Amino acid sequence: MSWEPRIIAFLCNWCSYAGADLAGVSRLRYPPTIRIVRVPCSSRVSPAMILDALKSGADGVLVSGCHPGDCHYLTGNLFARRRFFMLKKLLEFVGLEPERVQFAWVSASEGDVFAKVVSELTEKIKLLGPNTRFRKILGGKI
Amino acid sequence: MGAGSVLVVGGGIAGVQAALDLAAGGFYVHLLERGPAIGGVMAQLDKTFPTNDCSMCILSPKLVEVGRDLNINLLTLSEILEVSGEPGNFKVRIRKNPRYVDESKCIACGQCAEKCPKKVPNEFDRGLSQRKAIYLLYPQAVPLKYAIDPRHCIWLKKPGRCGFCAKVCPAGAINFEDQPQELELEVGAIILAPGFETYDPTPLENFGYRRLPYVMTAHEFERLLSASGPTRGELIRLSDGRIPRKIAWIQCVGSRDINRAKVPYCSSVCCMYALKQALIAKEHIKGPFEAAIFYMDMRTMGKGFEAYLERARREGVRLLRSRVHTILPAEEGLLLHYVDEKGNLKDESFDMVVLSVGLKPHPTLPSLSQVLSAPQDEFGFLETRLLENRPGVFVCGVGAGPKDIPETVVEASAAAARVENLLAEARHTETREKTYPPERFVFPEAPRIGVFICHCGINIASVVDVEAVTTFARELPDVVYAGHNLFTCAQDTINRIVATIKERQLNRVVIAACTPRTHEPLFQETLRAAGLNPFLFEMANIRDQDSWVHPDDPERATQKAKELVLMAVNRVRLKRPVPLATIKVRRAALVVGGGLSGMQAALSLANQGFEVALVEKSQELGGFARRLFREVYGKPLKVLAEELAAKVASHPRIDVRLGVTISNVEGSVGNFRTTLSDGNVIEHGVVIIATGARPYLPQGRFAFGYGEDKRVKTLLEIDELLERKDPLLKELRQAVFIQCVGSRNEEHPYCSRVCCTHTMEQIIKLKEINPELEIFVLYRDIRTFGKKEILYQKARELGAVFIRYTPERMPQVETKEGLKVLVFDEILKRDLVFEPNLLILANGIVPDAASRELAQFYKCATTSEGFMLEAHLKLRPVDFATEGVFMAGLCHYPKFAEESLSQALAAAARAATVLAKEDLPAESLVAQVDPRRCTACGQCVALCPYHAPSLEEVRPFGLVSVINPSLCKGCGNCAAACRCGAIQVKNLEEEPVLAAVEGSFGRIWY
Amino acid sequence: MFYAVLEGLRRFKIPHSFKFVSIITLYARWIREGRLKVDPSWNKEGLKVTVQDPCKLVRQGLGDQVAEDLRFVIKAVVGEENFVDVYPNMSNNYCCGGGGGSIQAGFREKRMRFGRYKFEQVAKTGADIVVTPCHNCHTQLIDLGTYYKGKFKAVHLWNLITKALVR
Repeated sequence: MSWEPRIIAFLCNWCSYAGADLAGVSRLRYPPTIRIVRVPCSSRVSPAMILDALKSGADGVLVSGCHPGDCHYLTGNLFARRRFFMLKKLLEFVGLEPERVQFAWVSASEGDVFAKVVSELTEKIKLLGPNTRFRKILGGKI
Repeated sequence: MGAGSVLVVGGGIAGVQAALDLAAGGFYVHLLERGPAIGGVMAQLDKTFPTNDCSMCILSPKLVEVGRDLNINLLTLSEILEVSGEPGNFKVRIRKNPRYVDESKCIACGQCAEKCPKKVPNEFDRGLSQRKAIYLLYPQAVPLKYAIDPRHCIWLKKPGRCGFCAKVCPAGAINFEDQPQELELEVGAIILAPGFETYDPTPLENFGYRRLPYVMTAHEFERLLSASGPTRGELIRLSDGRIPRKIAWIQCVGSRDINRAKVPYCSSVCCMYALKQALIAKEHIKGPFEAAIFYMDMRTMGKGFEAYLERARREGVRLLRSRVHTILPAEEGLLLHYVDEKGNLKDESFDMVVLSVGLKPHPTLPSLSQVLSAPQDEFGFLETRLLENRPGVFVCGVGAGPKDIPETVVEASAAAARVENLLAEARHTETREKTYPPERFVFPEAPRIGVFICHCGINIASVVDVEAVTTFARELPDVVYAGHNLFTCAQDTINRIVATIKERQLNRVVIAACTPRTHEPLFQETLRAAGLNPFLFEMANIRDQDSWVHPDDPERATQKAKELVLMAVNRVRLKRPVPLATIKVRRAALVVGGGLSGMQAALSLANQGFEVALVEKSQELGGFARRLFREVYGKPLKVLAEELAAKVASHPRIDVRLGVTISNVEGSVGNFRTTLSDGNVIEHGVVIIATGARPYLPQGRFAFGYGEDKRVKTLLEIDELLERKDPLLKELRQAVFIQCVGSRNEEHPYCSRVCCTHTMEQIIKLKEINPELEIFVLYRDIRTFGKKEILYQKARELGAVFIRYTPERMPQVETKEGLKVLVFDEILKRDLVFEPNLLILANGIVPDAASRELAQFYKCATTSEGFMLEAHLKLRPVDFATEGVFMAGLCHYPKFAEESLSQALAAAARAATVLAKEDLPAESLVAQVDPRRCTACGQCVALCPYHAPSLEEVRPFGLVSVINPSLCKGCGNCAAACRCGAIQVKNLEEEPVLAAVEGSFGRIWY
Repeated sequence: MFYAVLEGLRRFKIPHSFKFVSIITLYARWIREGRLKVDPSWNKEGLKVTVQDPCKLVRQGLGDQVAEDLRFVIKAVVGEENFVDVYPNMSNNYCCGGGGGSIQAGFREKRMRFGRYKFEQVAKTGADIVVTPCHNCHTQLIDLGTYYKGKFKAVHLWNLITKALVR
């Protein structure tokens, strides 16, 4: 079987998770490469979580929140964006392809946007190949 | 019986808000909607001005709340047949039309609609797309149940002919034999929120609507922009699929038109929605795009609207003050004839024209008005006096006249307050509360996880191998039970789950089914019913995010389902029971400010049975209202204010404190301790801020001779002259008004909303006293919105002359040799000189500097201008972001006395939602600080928008951050920001998240 | 005069016992009743005829009904096939651009500028004659025709009726 990327997505409960649901309700298709972790707000996602996901074997990480101004918690998504920008710089510095991590705004009514984001990210990471530069090798079976 | 229930008619945002406030305030609500789902017009909108929030995203949580509230009985597809009785004891006969789909069985999988062969125009998309005869009004509909449209269903017209839906329905929910039902309700009061319809521009044949392909109404355009609309938000011309690069909006179509459309009032919202649509269209279209708005007066008189207008101007939206004569077909587009402001004839072609259609009373209003004997006004809207139509019947929203969403929400809450005043004694007499068995103490137990996997009919099972997933789950460590069900959400399955939890002594539960967004509350309730803490629960979304999106790849979908289940098991294992948080509420209110709003709010709360303290810094109640010469609800405002003051002063439950201010505030929602300047302390559960505002004092560039010449006066000073019927007024020969003094300029970049209308009122009064008086009004845009337009019309009929000026060429006033006013007339292109006996400056309203200080006491925000900032401009217009603090009146934004009174009532209704209960449910999964790790860096304090964390001295740790659980919403922002890892959100620490991530790689995490 | 009185009565709600009827409506009635006999056969050359609906008479005055009558009379006197309508028309017609006393006051340049649409609209029909029952429109249309070098002539309605009268 050919290699397939594995992407971890941290989605905020109020917009992006709902957007992912809407993609399902609208019966859109996207590759089964993504595993969604629900968080209350994109601002709950600390850079450490993203690094841990990469360390655990993720080939890509997606963080998605509400559009600016729509945040259920008023300004959380803006904090997330700022943290994320910093993290990208850091990843570049330590030599990891920064394209592996992506930030997106997906609202509750944008099922099609979500499907598109997943498909595009999967394609992008397929080109990059497996994440080998930042990977924890565990004793257990994979 | 019956007095503890309320009937709310109309499931739009007005009805929804009224229902939610009433239910939270301790009343049982019947919410009646004629369609198959609630949501109204707001559900159809794409974005909302002035924040450009996605309309559905902000509305949907409210709809879900309505659907889940135990004390709201949703009556869809229903209509009122008859009403009898009196306030406190109405009998209402209702017909519930058949849905032909059993609501208790339908799982909204959509297979019926897929198979249904009958396509019909989709009214939700304004006919721009098609739906089936069996349909869901829109994807987020509440209730999320399909309905058969009997006008189109093949079977219902000819039984035996089709019936595909019944064949494919996995839940057996289709019932062609469904019959209309008649119900009789006993209610104490009725709230009408019947909504509106947009004007149909077909009769205005010069605009070519329905004749020319690229002409559409703004309502249709809204659907075209919407991500759930006919093109999924792609902005194209539906007839040829081309992207419109140049769009024109034509304002006042079916508004302010006494000639052809015969609609004399202004629809209030069109200027703003046209600006919004122009801006959103610009965002949608990549590459060159041009937007032009043809208007008469730009009416951006609401909070944040003027800034929005400026933003549109900056982003290149062309604003053309012109009425378009005709739209002609042209090659590949449309040709517009118009005259520009310089008087030149112009021909310009556009790719698309949007008609900004006005708001009209809903076509069902006449019959509703008849059934309820509820009088209508001359335009067909329902009559209201402080929201009351007739005793016991209240009206809110556009059914009472055109208005925007925030005003509608304010009115809805205010109507709820009026009902609560009327029925105060019956509070909590008919509401229901769920009771649960005591919680089992599971803390010391080893994890015993139960996994329940759902087939969802064939929605999951047709793609995912449910059997294999169950076997996989059964073999995971700590899983003591794994099983699968056809419909996990069905009542019998729920009962089985409860039994299984008890039987197997489960202490953690995973349900692999649909989305937690809709079903988590239901399953959490199931856990509580089984005596488990509701937070020992996790859902794996194997339908919406698995079987529905990977139908072509069952193998990998099954693999994904296994991993999703493992992620949930990993995560649930680490979860701990969290007590459901509540706050003990001190059931008393503090109202700050003794003006019209403050008095009304205090009176409403006191009449509802709550203790109120009213604090006023001056020595007299009444405020600004005592100085205005206006009539409100047929009574001089001054008299109204004095009557209110008398009632407040003599009310046994109102404690009036005059001549004091606030010097310190401690505590939070439910338990505030406010110290007054005289040293007294007031304990209260909520606070309503109604501190008012000040009139602008003309000065500097905007003095216009004020203070130099006695003949230059402000609107308020004219009110004084009118009030005492000064003989001077009879001798006047000529009066000139200058509008926008202290509004819409760089110092005060907002519109003061009331001055145009007050000018009209004064013109009418002045003309009554002295019909020979010549009146000239120098203005920028006349903003007599809504039915106030009639006053403008009357002022023109009485002979007042209106002359427009621009901010670039302000009117000049000379006082040295007599009073002279010089203005450049934009139409004549000439300078005009007036020598009036009276120059009246329509001065605006400016915020009170004391407001800002007070806001800081209660940790509330103000706008950059200094007005109070609400939690959400659209849907929470009287709430602050800080819980338990509400606002009313001029401190929020300039507004009319009528609006202040409504807002005060709304604030009272919102406050009552807190005061109605002894224990206030609070967010349970809040952040908490480990004081041993905290270094008091203050990051969390700086970033929390709810002001939950603060730095405090805690023994023995010293200065550390402390998070107030009653303010925390559990977003986790502080936890992510905490540099020492001292802050964690309950059940959402790093570990459960990592455990889930590990699970996605098939690894177990202990 | 007609409009001034009509609008004055309307605006100030002055009670009155008489009705406002345009002569055009009367022409139309008389033709329908056979009391005014007209015959379009004089139009041997097949001159194309179009119409100008005066604002004061139609849009602001009596409404579309009088415009219908106007068309009926024109068709009766020039032949149905020779009538070409303008677009937009009737209540939604363009102003001739010569109202408000501008003809008498001498704003010639502005008048011609405002009348450009009217000229283009009439010229587009290809008509040889434009009929107007209004004195003001009549003068303005003649001026427009000369200024923009159009081929049409402006005539009053009664000019054509006299041509078509059956003796």
